[in-house]
Amino acid sequence: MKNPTNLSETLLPALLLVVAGLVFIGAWRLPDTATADLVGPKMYPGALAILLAFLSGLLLMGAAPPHGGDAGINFPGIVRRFLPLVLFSTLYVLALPLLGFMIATTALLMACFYLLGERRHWLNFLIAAGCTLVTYLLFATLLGIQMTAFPG
Amino acid sequence: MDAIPLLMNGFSQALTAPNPLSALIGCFLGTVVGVLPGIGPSTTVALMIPISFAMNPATALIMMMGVYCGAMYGGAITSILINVPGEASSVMTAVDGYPLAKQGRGGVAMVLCQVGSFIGGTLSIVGLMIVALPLANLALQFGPAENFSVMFFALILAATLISESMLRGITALILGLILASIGTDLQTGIGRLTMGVPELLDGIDNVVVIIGVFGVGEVLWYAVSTYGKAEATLERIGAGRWIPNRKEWRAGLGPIFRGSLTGFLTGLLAAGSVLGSFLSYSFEKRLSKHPEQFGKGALEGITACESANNASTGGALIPLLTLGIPHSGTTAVLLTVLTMYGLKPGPQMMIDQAPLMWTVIASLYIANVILIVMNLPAVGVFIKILDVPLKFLMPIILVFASVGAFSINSSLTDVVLVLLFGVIGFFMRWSGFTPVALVLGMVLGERLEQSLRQALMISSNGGLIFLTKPISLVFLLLTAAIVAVDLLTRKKGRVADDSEG
Repeated sequence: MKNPTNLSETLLPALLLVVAGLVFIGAWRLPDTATADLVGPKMYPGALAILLAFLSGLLLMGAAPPHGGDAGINFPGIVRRFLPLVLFSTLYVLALPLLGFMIATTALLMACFYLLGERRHWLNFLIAAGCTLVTYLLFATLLGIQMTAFPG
Repeated sequence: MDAIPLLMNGFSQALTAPNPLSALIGCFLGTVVGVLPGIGPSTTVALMIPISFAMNPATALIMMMGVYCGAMYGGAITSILINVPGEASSVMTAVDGYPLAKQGRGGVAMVLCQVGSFIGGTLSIVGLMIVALPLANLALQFGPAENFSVMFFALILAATLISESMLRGITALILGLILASIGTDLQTGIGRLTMGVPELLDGIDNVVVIIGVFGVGEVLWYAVSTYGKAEATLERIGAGRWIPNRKEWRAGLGPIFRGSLTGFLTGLLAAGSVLGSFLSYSFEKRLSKHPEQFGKGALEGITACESANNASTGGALIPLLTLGIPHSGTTAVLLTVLTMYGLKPGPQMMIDQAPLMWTVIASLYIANVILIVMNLPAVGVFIKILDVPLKFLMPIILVFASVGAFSINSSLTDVVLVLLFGVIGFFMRWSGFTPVALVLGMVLGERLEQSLRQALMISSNGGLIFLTKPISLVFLLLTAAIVAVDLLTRKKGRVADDSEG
C-alpha cells in the first residue's frame, strides 16, 4: 500500500486530471453556435479544462510544497468510518421517498451515533427522534418546506 | 443639511404602529433564515410578497428590509458554531470562526461578529444617506470589462492569500469555475456539462456546494480523524466564555471599520456581499502582523468579513434605489416589490417619494438596533450547542445539511449533490486544498464568464478592451502585482527555510 502522505498528495490531482479530460470532451462535443462573442459557450469550459489539466499535472510532478492536511487520517479510519457514513447517507437519500422524513432521519441518526461510538440504543433513539422532530418542525412548519413526514 | 429633518420624519413614520412590529418580525425571520442553511433571504422576501398585499407600502418594505438585514446577521451563527455557512457571504466567517469555536472562543467570535455586523450595517446606512447619488454614478462606470477585472482580481487575491500553496489555491479555483459553468449557457441556451441529468440544466446551486464542502465535509473529517482515538478526547468542544476581553476587542475593532468600508463599496457591484467578505478578509491577512493565524482562528478575519457583508446591504441599496439596478437576488425581489407598489426606482425616487424612502432608511437603522439587541443575548443560548458531545452533534449537522439542501428546490438531487460535495470537501482537505477557493470560483464563476463574454461582445478590438478601460487596467495591474509579490514572498520563505534546515 502507498504511504498515505503520498496518496494524499497524488490522489486528488490524478482525479482532477480525469475531470479535466471529461470537461474538455464535454465542451468539445457542444454544438457550434454563431454567437457574437469570441469565447462562445464551448471555449470557456474548454480553456478551463486545459488549465485544470496543466495545474493537476504540475501538482502530480510535486510542484507544490508538501502539506499537513493528512494529519490524523489513516486507512482503517477511511474503511470503518468514511465508507459506512457515505453508505448510510446514500441509503438515507434512497429511503426518504419510501419511508418519509421521520423514519429515515431517525434511522440515519441512530446509525451514525452508533458508528461514532455511542452504544446505548435507547439514548440514541431518544436523541435521534427528538432531533428529527425539531428539524421537521423548523423546516416544514416554520419555513413551509414540503417534506413527507411518514410513508403513504 | 436637508437630510436630518427628512430622516427624523422617517423615524417618526417608522416608529408608528404597526411598523416597529413589522421590523421586529422581519428581523426575527431574517435571523432564522440566516441561521438555517438552504433557504436564503431572496426566497424569504419573495415568500412575503403575498403577505405584504395586505400592508401599506412602508410597513411591507420595513419588514422586508428587516429580513434582508437579519439574514446577514444570522449567517455568522452556524458558520462559527458548526462550520455550515448558510450563504456564500458567510463562507469566510467559517474559515476562522469554526477554528475559534474549537478553541472554546466561539462565543467571543459571535459577539464580535454581532458588533461588527451592527457597525458595518449602520455605517453603510450613513453612507447610503450621504453619498448615494455620487456613488451611483461610480457604479455606472462599471461595465462588463470593469466587472470582469474586479472579479478576476478578487479571485486571484483570495486564492493566493487563503491557500497555503498558490498552485493548490488556483487549482481549486479553476475547479470552482468549471462547476459554475455547468448548466444552461445564458447566451445561447445550450446545456453545458450536464452529463444528461436534466436537473443540472439549472446549474448547481452555490449553497449546495457550500453546505457540502463545509458541513458534510467536516462531519466526514471528524468521523475519520477521530477513529481509534480515546473517547475522553472527543467529548465536546465546550461553550467557553463569550464576553471578549480588552485584547480581543482591540483585535476586532480595526478590521470592523476597514471591513465596513470595503463591504459598502463592493455592495455597489454585482455579487457585492461575497466580494466584500472575501476582499476584506484578504486585506486583513495582508495587513496583519500574524498572517499565519488566519485560517486557524483569527478574530480579525471574522470581524472584517462579517462587517463587510453587513455593510454591503447599504451599498447594494444604492444602485437599487437610485438607478433601479439590482445586483443580487434579494435586491431583485425588492425591486419587484417597489414596482408592485407603483414606485419607480431611479434618481428621482429619493425626491418624488422622499417620505417613503426616508422611512425605509430610518427602518434600516431600527432593524440594526433590533438585531443587535435581539442577537447579543442569544449568543449565550446558541453557544450551548458546543456543549453537545461531538458524536451526537456531527450526525445532526449531516441531517441539517441534507434538509438545508433539500429546502432550496425541494429536490433530492440537491441532497445527493450535497453529499457528493461533502466527499469532495473531505478529499480536498486531505490533499491540502482549501475549499474556500473552490466556493469562491463557484460563486463568482457565472458572473465572471458573463462579464468576459459581454465585454468581448461590445469590444471593437477584442481582448484589448480590458487594457483600454482605465478601471479595468488598474485592477489587472493590481492582480499582476499581487501574484508577483506572492511568488517572491513564498520564494524568500522557501530559501529561508532551506538555509535554516
